[in-house]
Amino acid sequence: MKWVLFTLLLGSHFATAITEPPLPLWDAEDRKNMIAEGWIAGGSLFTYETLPLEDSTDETPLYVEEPTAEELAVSGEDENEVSEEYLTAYFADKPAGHLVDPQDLLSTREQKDLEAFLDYHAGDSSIDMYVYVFGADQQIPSDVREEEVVERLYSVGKPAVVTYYYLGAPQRSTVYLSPVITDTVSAAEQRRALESSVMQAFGSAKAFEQVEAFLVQMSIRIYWMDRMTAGTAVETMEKIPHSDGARGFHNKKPPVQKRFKIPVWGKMAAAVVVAAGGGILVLWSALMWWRGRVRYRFAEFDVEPRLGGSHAAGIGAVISFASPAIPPAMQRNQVPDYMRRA
Amino acid sequence: MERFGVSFPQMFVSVYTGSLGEISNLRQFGFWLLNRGVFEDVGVEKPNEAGILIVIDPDSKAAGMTFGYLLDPFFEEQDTFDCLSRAHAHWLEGLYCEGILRSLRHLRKVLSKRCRQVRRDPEKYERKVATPVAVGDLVRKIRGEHRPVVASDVPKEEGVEP
Repeated sequence: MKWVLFTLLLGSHFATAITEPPLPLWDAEDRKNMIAEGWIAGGSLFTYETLPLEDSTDETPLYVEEPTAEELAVSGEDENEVSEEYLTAYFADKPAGHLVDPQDLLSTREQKDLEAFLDYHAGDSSIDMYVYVFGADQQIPSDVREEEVVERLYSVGKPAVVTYYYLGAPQRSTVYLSPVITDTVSAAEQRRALESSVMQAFGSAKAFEQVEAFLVQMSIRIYWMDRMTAGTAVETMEKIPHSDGARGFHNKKPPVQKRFKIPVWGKMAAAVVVAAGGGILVLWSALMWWRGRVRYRFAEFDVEPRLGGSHAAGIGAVISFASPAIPPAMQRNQVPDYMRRA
Repeated sequence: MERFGVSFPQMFVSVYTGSLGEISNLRQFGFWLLNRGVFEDVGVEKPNEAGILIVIDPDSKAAGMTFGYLLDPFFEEQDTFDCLSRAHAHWLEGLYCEGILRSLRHLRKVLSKRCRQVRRDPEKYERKVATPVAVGDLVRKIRGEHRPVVASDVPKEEGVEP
């Protein structure tokens, strides 16, 4: 009996546990009052009424004011751009020295070292090297065209290689050549020169050592450009080793090798040989021309006919060419005696 | 061959190539052809006396050279042999044209040289073809120029008496 009562109680308990509790119901008047006052928290959720669909056509487009020209100008400015105060010093005129660093990114001593090296290079090469130094993340303003600067400043006078070098970021460097030598040195050669210089620069971690290595390698490359412009380079710059081990930045070894000069007596001897050869050629040509025009006439003598021949009795030699092993003299048939002249 | 005729206006060169067959004697054939042959592409101003004939027999692999009376004083059998020898190496390989050209080139060289020699000393070559003097005429000439020795012509010898 106890077991029966226990089972009935347990079953009723389970039945009440499975059925969900009903949602609280609003009193109609209370709800109206609350809506009239403004807002019911969860009013749209705790209800059995279906939610009304939102009408998208009723939405009005948002109006956002377009930015003004001033706002655009302000937003277009890059804080990494080279400041305007330096642009004149950089790009207005041809620099007096070979190193252009108006921002003083390099220390005075470093500037002097680089200037000395560039001056030494300029004294030893027919192509100058100008280096414009910028910060690692600096940008040249877009209204400054590097090519135009080079054409404007370096078209006249000694040809030059202009390098825009970014201190600490040699991979951003760019190289431009004077228009005079642009045709002689191809774009591919220029690119290779820049790449090899950048690779040399990456051999060091310090910014100044990088620029040193960069300039030394570029100086070597300019030497070969110099030879190409002179028409004496026999190998392309592709074959040039990346650096000459014996030459460094501080030992100031000249980057240009001495050209072989023909001595004066050698030039004179060569001129004499050429003149003699030309003379011989002219004489030989004249001789050939004369021989082609000359006519040979023989005196006609009365010859007594022989062997009954009315026109000819000149019996010449007969040779046999049957065997290559025997020389013609051995295969020569001698003229019989009766055929010879008495 | 045309250029040869231009350089030597009196002469012409012709080449016969072919099998001689039963005619085994190359010399006899050359002699006969130059005496009896008519060269149609040669002008009348150049008779057969001024001809040089090269005969090549590819079958018997032999070649010979015959020349007319005009060249008799100036051309010798050794000269013809030298000309043909120049072509020997080419003809051995069957290169007949090249051999002929080499031969003609040497022929031109020999004749131009001989022409200059004749100009310097024509009597030397004229004597080679002159008719030999008969023996009787020679004796008569010697006798005609002979005169008896006169006593006054004999030199007096002043001998030393022992």
